[in-house]
Amino acid sequence: MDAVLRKTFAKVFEMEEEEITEESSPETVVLWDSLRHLKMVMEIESAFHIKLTMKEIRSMATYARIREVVASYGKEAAAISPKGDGIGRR
Amino acid sequence: MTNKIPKIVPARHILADKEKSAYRKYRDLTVGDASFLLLLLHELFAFLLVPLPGALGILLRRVFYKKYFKSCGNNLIVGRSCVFRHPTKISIGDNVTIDDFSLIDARGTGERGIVLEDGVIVNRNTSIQSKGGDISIGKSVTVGANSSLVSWSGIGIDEGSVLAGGCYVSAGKFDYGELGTSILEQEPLSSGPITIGRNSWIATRVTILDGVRIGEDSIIAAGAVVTGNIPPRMIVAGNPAKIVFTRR
Repeated sequence: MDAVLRKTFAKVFEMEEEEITEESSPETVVLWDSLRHLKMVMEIESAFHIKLTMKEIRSMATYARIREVVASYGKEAAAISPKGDGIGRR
Repeated sequence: MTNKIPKIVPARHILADKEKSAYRKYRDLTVGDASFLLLLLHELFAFLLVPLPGALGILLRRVFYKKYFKSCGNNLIVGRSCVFRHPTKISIGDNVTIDDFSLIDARGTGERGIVLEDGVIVNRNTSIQSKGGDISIGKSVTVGANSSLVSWSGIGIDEGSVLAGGCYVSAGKFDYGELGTSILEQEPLSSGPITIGRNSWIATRVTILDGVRIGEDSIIAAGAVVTGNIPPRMIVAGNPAKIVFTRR
């Protein structure tokens, strides 16, 4: 799960995967504004085949928290093999 | 669908009319067909009441404007140097605030005129103009500073919506079929009124073009140019505005 999430996150915010830290947030990621946040949500939802609630979406203010939210979907989210890129898969 | 709009008489045509006296032109543009008495009142207000600053100005305008409009509710606050054209076609609800330097012009409206419902706030230096069609601004709507609403075939903003500063809502467009003929001489066209559904948030410097219908609970991101209809609960951004998210 983590590999797919990192890849998705890096793609949305146009950064290298190595630059992502647990504390990556709108303060530290240049492109992370409210609109890009929504784009990230859409990408995560299609990568993991999940549907987040508005409460979860609003709480996702750091990379650690995003992973926590995605992980909370358990099997459903983990069902995608980290071998594939997972992005945009239907 | 694009329709020709009947009955739009551009201000330019009124000003250029050689048959009309200067008095008639001025009257037609400021108070319309109303009586000489109303024009006199309008002139008196323009001289004594309109530019009056401070609390005294607000208080006096609240008292004297009560009968100036088609209808006017309680607790009206009108800032200084606000201009109202064709006031007999403007209806104002309770607790309406119109800040300094705003312009409300109902020249082109039909029977309903311009309606500002209860609790509407129009921030400073905003113009709300009808060259054609009625304009209705619903309960508790806020229109941000330096915004411009120009109607050719109607504008309707439903209750609870917020327009941030510098928004441009512009119904109408020109036919450009005849090359070589001045654009202004060609027919004004419109695909229909602009409507904004309830509880929508139109962010700073958004432009909404002719005939656009925006569904309720929508959010238009800052700087977007909305060229087509937006279904309810959408968040849209960009030029031309595209859907980026559905509110849930």
